[in-house]
Amino acid sequence: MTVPNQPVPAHQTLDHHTIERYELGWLLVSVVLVIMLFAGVLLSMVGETVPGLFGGKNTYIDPAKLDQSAFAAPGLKTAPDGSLDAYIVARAFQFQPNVLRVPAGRPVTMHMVATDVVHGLMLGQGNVNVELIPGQVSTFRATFNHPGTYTSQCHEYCGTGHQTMSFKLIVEAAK
Amino acid sequence: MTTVLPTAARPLPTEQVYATHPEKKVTLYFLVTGLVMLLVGLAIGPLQALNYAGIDVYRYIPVLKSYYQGLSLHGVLNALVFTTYFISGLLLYLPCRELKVRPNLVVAWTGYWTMTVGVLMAAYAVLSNGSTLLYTFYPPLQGSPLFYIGAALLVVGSLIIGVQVIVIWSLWKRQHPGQVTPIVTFMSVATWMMWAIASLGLVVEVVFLLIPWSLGWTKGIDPLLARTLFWYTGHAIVYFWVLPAYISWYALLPRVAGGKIASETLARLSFVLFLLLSTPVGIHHQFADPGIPVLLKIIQMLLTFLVVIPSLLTAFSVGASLELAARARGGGGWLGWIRHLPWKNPVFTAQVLAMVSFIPGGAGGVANASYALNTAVHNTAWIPGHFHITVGTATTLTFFAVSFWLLPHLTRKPLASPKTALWASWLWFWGMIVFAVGMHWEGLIGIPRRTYLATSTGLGDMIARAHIPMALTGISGLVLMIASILYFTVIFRTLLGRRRVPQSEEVPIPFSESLERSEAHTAGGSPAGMRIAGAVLVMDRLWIFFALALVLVALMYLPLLINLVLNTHLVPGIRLW
Repeated sequence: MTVPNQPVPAHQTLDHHTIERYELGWLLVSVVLVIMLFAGVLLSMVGETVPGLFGGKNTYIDPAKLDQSAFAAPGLKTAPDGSLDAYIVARAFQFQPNVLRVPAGRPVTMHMVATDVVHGLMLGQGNVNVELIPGQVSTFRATFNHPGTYTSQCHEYCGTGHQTMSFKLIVEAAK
Repeated sequence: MTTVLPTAARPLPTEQVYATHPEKKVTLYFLVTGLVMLLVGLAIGPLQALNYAGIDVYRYIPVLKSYYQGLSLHGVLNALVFTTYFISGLLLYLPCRELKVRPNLVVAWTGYWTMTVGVLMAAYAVLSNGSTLLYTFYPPLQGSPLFYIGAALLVVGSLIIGVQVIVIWSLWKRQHPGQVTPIVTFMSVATWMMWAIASLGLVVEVVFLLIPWSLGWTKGIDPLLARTLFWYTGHAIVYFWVLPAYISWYALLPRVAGGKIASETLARLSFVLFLLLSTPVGIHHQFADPGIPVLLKIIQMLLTFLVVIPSLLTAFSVGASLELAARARGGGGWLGWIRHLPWKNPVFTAQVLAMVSFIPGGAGGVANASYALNTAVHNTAWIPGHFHITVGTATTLTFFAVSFWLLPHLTRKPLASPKTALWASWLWFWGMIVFAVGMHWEGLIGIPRRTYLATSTGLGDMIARAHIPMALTGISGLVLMIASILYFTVIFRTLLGRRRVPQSEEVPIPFSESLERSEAHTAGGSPAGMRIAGAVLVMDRLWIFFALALVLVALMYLPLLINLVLNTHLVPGIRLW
């Protein structure tokens, strides 16, 4: 495979052993990169970039019997000790409530569930993102620090009215 | 199951193109059926892109009842049907030719017709608006039984071919003790073994949950169990799409470029890693799901990151073999060699563009796989942006390149217009890049994926911030439409052409030589007598890695699945479209 117009044939400078050495080096770099990536993501998660990841719990509730549970009257509730609980129910094609007002900077325990088919919701521009599966209650604590109005929409296809299933989170500044 | 071919070649009349290799015909059927399905799927594509530009074209197309019906067709045909046909044809034909054996044609045709009957059933269900479920068909949205049975037959058809290839390889191994499996066969068998493990989830979901439920035999379904089984297959299937492209990049492209495979040992290693790691990673599609333990999500995140390693190896190795080729063609310098590559050859250029698109595609995939970043992009327009530059370009554009040499090879009809083929490839590449920029951007703003955006309510403030990316998405749809028209013009003009070249001028299969073998050859030894790296011999025992892969997937999935099965929560099916 000597090429006439080239002084050094390619296979003498780039022989298979040289390439393999470089490639093994590259393999090592890849492994180190992946480990750093994993460690970085774990650290970020421990730092609560994903609210409620640890300590969140999942329970099941029969979607036909929601009216016998706290989901019977969805919305924000203040317990006697001042802690906040928000209940959200998703059904085709609306969220109940479809506007949720929460105070900025205070932890809210979210309880979210779907009744009929799979729905999904992203809250507050990115850090809370849940699939809502019929009967599977998603429970987690989240704190919304930045006052403002955040619109979103059901993000799991649920039928012809999917694009009309909107939601608004209003984070209110402390008075 | 195999026949050793007669070696004596006597000249045959030009018309009898399949006489020496009747497996060419079944391969051609697989490829062309797949491409026709793709044609239908692509025809709907611009409508989706315009929808994401806020323009509603659906109301002018009464055949499609809704955006979601169009999207179901687009997704099922392009991502599931086209790929499965094309891969089944390609990964049956290449190993058989490399091993010089003829597949049992009855088995091969059974695979083809099983698939085709399945696809026709599912097509009827979707076209009649009976199964507007999108390609994820999450229950409890309930479609027609025809759709689920059709989907099962599609997978079964592919498994018939896969098992056939694995059997052919096993028999070859028995007849050739001590010989190392040739590289394309090795990679194909690893891919089929991976698919045999990976497809189990979908098969179980469809056969045991969805079909009985859609027929009314069971009164409810557990949506979380079904989703988990779906994503068991749903992520691994992307490797089933991309590994055939890798085979082409590793083992066929070097010869097209005029070079060698840079390192055969590491090429094999990357396929072994894919066999081991492709399946136990599906939970990263369910980071947002309640009811799945956080620890399992984190472990599968790590495993997903590990799959990055074989892809990085591929990037290195394929890059090196291209550099070798360019230097052999007289190129030099740090980057100057690049222009010495055969850019006028569409078979070459389309594949290199496919690889380039896979760089941002793979990087975006790492973002999707990391739990913390996934939360910001899960189910947003970012995701279709991502898979249009992975399966939609890395795989599809590579398959375009393959069709540019394989269809002429099979039919002995010359490629109709290499220049048009080149244009189609470049336009496809740029169209997809612009599409991806638009969709990733829309996703970061928070716009959900697969929503009838043009008529959506309640996203007002997001849309106000998304005018530029929405315009990009719309424009890209039109560029891709032109690319598709050019591509299919080339394909149909080739297939319908009258002229066939004689057997002696047949386009060869570009099986490439590795640098190891070529060095052994120039050193005076015969390639057969060269010292084979111990690692290659170990890796050649693919059954061991198949078993290991099964163990790993059982560890990652069985406890969760058993728990879900023991605690099923059935809900009734419903039709909401």
